Amino acid sequence: MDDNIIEIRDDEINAVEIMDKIRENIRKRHADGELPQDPDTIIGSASNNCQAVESDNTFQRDLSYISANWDIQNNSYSISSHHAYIGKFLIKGRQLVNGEVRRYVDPIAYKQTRFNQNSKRILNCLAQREKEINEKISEAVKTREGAISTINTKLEKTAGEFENRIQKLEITTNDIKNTTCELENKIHEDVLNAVNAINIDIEKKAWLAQLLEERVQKGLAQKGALSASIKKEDTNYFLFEERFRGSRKDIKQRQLAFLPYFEKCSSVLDIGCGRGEFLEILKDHGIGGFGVDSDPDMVAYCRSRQLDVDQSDAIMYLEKLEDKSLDGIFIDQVVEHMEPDYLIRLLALCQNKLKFGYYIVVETVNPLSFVSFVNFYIDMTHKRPVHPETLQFLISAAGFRESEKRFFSPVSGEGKLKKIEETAEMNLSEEKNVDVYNHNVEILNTVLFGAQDYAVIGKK
Amino acid sequence: MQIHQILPTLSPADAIGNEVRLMQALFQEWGYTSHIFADNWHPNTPALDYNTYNKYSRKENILIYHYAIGSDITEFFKKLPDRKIIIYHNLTPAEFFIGINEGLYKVLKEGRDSLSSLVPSVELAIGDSEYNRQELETMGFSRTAVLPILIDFDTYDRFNTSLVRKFTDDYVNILFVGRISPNKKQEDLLKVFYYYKSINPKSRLILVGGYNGCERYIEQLRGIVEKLHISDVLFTGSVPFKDLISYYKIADVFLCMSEHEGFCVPLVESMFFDIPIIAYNSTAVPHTLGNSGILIKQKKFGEIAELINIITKDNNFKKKIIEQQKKRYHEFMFENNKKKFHRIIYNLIDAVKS
Repeated sequence: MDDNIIEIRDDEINAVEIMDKIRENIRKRHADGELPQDPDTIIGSASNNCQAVESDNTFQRDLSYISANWDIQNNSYSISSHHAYIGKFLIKGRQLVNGEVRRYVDPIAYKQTRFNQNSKRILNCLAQREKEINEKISEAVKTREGAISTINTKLEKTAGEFENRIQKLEITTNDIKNTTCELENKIHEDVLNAVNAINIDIEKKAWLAQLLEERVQKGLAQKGALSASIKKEDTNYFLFEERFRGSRKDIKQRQLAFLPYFEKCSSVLDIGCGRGEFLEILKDHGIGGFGVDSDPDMVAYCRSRQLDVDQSDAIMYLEKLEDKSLDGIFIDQVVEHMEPDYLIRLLALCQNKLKFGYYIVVETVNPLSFVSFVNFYIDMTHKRPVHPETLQFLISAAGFRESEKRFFSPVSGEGKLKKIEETAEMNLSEEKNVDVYNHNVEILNTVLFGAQDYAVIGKK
Repeated sequence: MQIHQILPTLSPADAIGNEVRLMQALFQEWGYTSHIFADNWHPNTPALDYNTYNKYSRKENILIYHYAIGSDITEFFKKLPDRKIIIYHNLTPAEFFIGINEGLYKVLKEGRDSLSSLVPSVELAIGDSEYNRQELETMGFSRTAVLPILIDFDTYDRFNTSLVRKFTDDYVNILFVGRISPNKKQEDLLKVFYYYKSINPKSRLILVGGYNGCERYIEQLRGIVEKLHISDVLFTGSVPFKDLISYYKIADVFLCMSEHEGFCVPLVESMFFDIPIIAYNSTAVPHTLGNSGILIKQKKFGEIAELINIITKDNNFKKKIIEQQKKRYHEFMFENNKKKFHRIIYNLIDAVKS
């Protein structure tokens, strides 16, 4: 058998060496008498009965002693002497003294002996009675145990009968439950079938409607004005955002830049709020905000995070609001999904609903950067990129007094074209060439890898 | 499609409850509607009554059943049309509770029997350790996987300063965290400590864990403390999370003599808090430790006490053990397990699509 009690799965540690050290320490402690007694012996040896047995023996011993030594009268005392000549006189003298002393001592000794005798009798009697009582108790215990055992047998029998009855009841209850469950499942299935049938019917009708609409659109689209559009509802846009837009944490980090425009506001509307990142930022900073989004998955998600969000078309929603009721509007990565007419109408409505002196922030993809322009087409629901100048013009045209453009999310250095570093060994002509090259790289980097997003901020 | 979870009891301060809530947050983050259904729950961690699940039940839904004890939910779960997964957190063998808690004995015994009855209706059975997965396979589950229990260590930062101050001194603190329960063999911890106390009188044994339902067992343990005349043994009972973190902060050694563990979260927690682990080689313990910590092959209490003495004095040895534990801890990091779980769930969804 392996004596090594430890296992260490690390090549750098020598378990055998440690085990040797352990054994060596134990050996030393044993030699020095420091090793404690085996705990199992201590836990197992303590017995409460030992003390009782001990005291019982002492009692019997004491009682025997009392029984043997109760008589303290000295009647057997005889006076004698070995001296041949003076012996007679000595005996006479001692008898005289003894007689005088016993006159005082004997009555006391007599009384004490009587007391001892009575005490001995009482104690023996008590011991006898205790013995009898103990016997009677054990007899009674035996009788009771017998009675208890009979009762237990009866109880077990009754319990068995009860258990049988309960089992029968359980079987009946289970039957009822099963029937109920089957009924429930049947109803559930019937309802599902009915709903499915309705859904199929709706889908057929929707398909017919789509077919008709396509024919109408074909007629209208001779100039190619209308492009085929992907509806958001056709895909799980929520999953799409998860994959391509970035984590909620990253988006919140980016959106923090817009917070100063809404400081101390109490009624900020987030149009196309998506997963509610900006609404959460507002909430975290004690700013009152609410959102609107047309995607039911997004709305359900926001509501699960206790955010105040309605599912609606943005224009229909804004039309219902009172004029000058908002003190901030935030539209992030939304306008690139809109047709121009819709966008113009939306901005006009925003101007009406915003209070004087407050801000609208509209952020979208920057088409001036080649990389973000190309990435624009990852999202099939994007309609067209909006040029920064166009957006600024539309915001001014909607009636906002001041507007400014801001660019965000530059491509990191690693993704850009690299410049050549000048070195001390270069001659003048080489240095000039490097300057020209680096200047060109800078221009190309701006065109290809410029800021990926921009925002136009309007003030009413 | 929705992804829901169902379990007998949702508590705020146990590893299963924490995992269930983390999973719910993940499903919601991935865009699914997700609720928790339970038979009992703590007011701080509300759940929906499992009897109302019929309203949510759909053929295309995924329903995850966290299995750790026998319950009426098993029969209910079997009859649902949803796609079913169980996550098996292990059942303690009932035999440990003979003479300690007859009720628990019965529930555990029934729990094991009814688990195997789930074989035909479950699509995937997940164990939170390789040990549990092997048990599932033996019971007859055909499709099994391992997903280490999800623990978010970002929440392990708040502690009770006064408690830490109280126990920060020149004493060696030996810690064990886990319910006071016969399978955890706290009596063996007492015997090791009895030896260690004779080597180093400036030492404490801290046993963190509730004893609800095992009152008879804790009485026996207190009897042993008295008979062996050992001082400085602390039974904390059930403690708030902040206090638990504090005990880990002041511990010098984590000692585990348990003879049945399904996963043993405190081992990972000790890795996180850089406490050298000495643990008896049983059930899931070697799987959770991997190549880290010190495994005990035989319960020779005097020798184990000497080992504690060596590891608390030999800094180099202690450092090496902790380094290996740190490597192992990385495998349990929330981010890694989150990805693994994501793969499991999406494989399941894809399997149906294809």
